[in-house]
Amino acid sequence: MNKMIKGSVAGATGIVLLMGGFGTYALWSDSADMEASKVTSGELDIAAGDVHWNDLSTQGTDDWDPNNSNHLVVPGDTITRTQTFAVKGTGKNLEGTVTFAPGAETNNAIGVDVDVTSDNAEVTETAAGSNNFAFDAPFSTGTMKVVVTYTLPQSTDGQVGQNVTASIAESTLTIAQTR
Amino acid sequence: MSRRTPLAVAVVGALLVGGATTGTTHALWRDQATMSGSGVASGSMSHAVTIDGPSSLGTLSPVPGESPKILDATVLDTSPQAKNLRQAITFAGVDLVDPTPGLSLSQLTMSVGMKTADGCSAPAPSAADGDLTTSLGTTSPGGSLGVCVKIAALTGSPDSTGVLRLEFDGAQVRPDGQQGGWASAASTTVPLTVVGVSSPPAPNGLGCVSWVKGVSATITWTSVPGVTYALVNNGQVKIANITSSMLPLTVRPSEVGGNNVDLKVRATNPAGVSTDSSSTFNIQFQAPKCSAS
Repeated sequence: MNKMIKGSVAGATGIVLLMGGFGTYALWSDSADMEASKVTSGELDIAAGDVHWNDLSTQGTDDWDPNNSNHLVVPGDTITRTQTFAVKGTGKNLEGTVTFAPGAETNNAIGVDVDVTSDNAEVTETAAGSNNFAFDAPFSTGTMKVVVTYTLPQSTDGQVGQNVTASIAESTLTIAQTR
Repeated sequence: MSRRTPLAVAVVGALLVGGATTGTTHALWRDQATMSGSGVASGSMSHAVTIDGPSSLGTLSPVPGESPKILDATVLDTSPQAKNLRQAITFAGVDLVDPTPGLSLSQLTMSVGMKTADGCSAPAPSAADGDLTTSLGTTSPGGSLGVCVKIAALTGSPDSTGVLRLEFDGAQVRPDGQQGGWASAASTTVPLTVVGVSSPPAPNGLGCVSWVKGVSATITWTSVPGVTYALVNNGQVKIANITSSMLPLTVRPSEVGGNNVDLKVRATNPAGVSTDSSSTFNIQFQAPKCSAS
């Protein structure tokens, strides 16, 4: 074996020895777990519920059918259309409003009145009869009730108020975050 | 790129970020629900009156005991259907249109009632110019009431014609009976004819047949069949219901009011119309004397 070959073998051996020596180091180390975390967003929602028509003058329930051609109002009649709206408001820092935007009214001799109420004490009317509400804290869930009342007073005499209509156009109830 | 370019980019970026977190550019939650449009319509209230059967009353005869004519009518509630509509119908009164001279409501007697299975519930006719307002009943849209009117002419009414207008009012009532609200009115007319009865001829041909002093006198006059007579002393009827077959008639002082009397003869026809004679019997039972002048 000539010198050159011997030199190469010796070099390779030295490298192997050097590499094998790596795993044998004993150095300090430590670790800690960070628990998994998350946040969940709140909810702000409003959804239209059922509609009920009642003839208050007969103390009935669901006894007025707006699609029945025989259900025409006469003096002394008070008819209500009641619709509920489910509202949700969750989130620690949630504040907001619920506002009613009525559609155009046509009343002729028949009176039309709209009243919005809330069954959740956290959702309060901003001013009596305003039909607008506010909440300054999350309120979970609640129900807004919109009652449209049509009245033809019994004092309507002679031939007054015959063959006329009263209506309210499509209206909106909006719940909006202010913070 | 100059040395100042990175600085300018940084400033612009900072302003954009700042704008997104201030002022009215917040993107806050919002939700909306729709309430559908709705409405109600009112009905109306009306009624109509029609005469049933013949549209004429026929002829009214102003004769005592004559049965009144009965007019049948139907009051129809012509209101369109409406859930809570009821209508109380009232007979509001009568009016006389285009009467010929001599005819007025005060010469008619009327009463109003409901048609029944066996006739008319109206009472005997009373004066038409009195209060004839009569509550008839309550209807619903499409319903009807059968009404009857009894009509007669007062004795002695002359020949005359006119048109009788019968008026009916409607007043709204609630299903619970509470009154108030709409009102309606309707009327119908019916021709009216009164054929009067002529007065009987004044009795004539008065004459004394015989007399017996202090006892009696026998008298007679020209009579007409169908007419009844009476002897009248100073406006008071002394002997009534004298017919042609009873003539000559013997009278006594106790029957005619004394020994010295003046008697007229009064003729009355079947209609109850009377006419007195222009001549007078003068009877003096004690004279004796009997004359007619």
